Amino acid sequence: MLEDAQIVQLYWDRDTAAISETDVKYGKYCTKIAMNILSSAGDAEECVNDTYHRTWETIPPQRPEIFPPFLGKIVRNLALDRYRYNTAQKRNGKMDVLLSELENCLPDAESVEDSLDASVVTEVINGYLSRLSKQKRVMFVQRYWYSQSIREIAHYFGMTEGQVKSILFRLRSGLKDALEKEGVYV
Amino acid sequence: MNREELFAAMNGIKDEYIAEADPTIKAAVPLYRKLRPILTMAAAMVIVVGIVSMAGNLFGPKGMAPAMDQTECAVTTAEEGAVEEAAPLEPAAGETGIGAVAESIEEAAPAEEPAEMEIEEALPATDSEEATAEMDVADQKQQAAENRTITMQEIFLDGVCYEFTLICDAQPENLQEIGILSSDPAATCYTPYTHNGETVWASEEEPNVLFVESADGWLRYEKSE
Repeated sequence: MLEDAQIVQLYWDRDTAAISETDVKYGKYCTKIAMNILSSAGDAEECVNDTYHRTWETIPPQRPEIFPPFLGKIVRNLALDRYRYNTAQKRNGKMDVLLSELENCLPDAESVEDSLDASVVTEVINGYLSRLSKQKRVMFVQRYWYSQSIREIAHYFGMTEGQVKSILFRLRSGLKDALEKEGVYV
Repeated sequence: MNREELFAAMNGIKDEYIAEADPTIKAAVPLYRKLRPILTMAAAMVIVVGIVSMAGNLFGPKGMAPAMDQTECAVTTAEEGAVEEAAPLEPAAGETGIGAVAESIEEAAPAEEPAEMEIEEALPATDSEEATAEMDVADQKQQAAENRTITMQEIFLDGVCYEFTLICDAQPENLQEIGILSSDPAATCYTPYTHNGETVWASEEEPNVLFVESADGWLRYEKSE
């Protein structure tokens, strides 16, 4: 199995082996992210294939320093686009639950003053995550970036689902406070 | 911004945070969390054993102590024949829990107790037989002694007293049977004189001596002075 830098170099060399090597090393990783959002094996597989195609188009000119998150962001964005497309026709219960959790992070409607640039929100989130312990940060990212289920996170950390729910509740409250403190209103 | 936009905004989370949270990489779960199911099970077993032990302490001795005494008694009787000296079987210190469990297990097997009791009942009967036999022997000896006493009684013959002197090793020679003449003329006229069912003999050589054959030998009686 090739190192990440070697795979990226294959993309730069325009070697089609880059895609097969990416699939060998990160196919499971990409599929997991897509499946967590879409809950459909067919949609996830299609999403992952689109990810390889998008990566082929993006590298070069980009040269990611950390390859897995680079792939993950592409597959996540594609999966979200597919999710929006799908939800225009049908409901996705799993994602609805996850998004309803995030709704708790948003300030009250009365405090809405103006629209917010997404990049500013991202900056607040990264600042908030930097103040957390590694365990809580991983738990937050697994839930709201990787869209892992509560059960999966509990198994990952060797905790009960109740413990994970409790920690995530406090993390959401903390993010809400952070957003309000920074004057971020939606 | 709605919730979906907030979710999308999280796509800008730093790569290092995303990389460290990779769910496909096995987390280093602390050892105590890996062992938690085993520890939980062990703790549950300790509690159960404790409860059983307490139950055994509360209820066990009442039901089991007598049975165990009987068992010990039966064994002691078989070995020594002394039921009263059998000591009760006391559980050793520190074995209370195990002992209680063992007692409860023994309680579940009541068939053994009657069998032991049967043994217990049977053993004294054997002693009784032995004692009876011993008593019989003693009685026989006593009877023999009495018989001897009777044998050694003086013999009165024709108003003369003959006293026992000794037991002869060999049969005396020249003995003469002593007869009694009946006063009834129709009778056979002559009846041998007996002493304790044994015929009394007179010595032809010694006129003042009588002999009576007995199990111990020939008893010699001499005319009393």
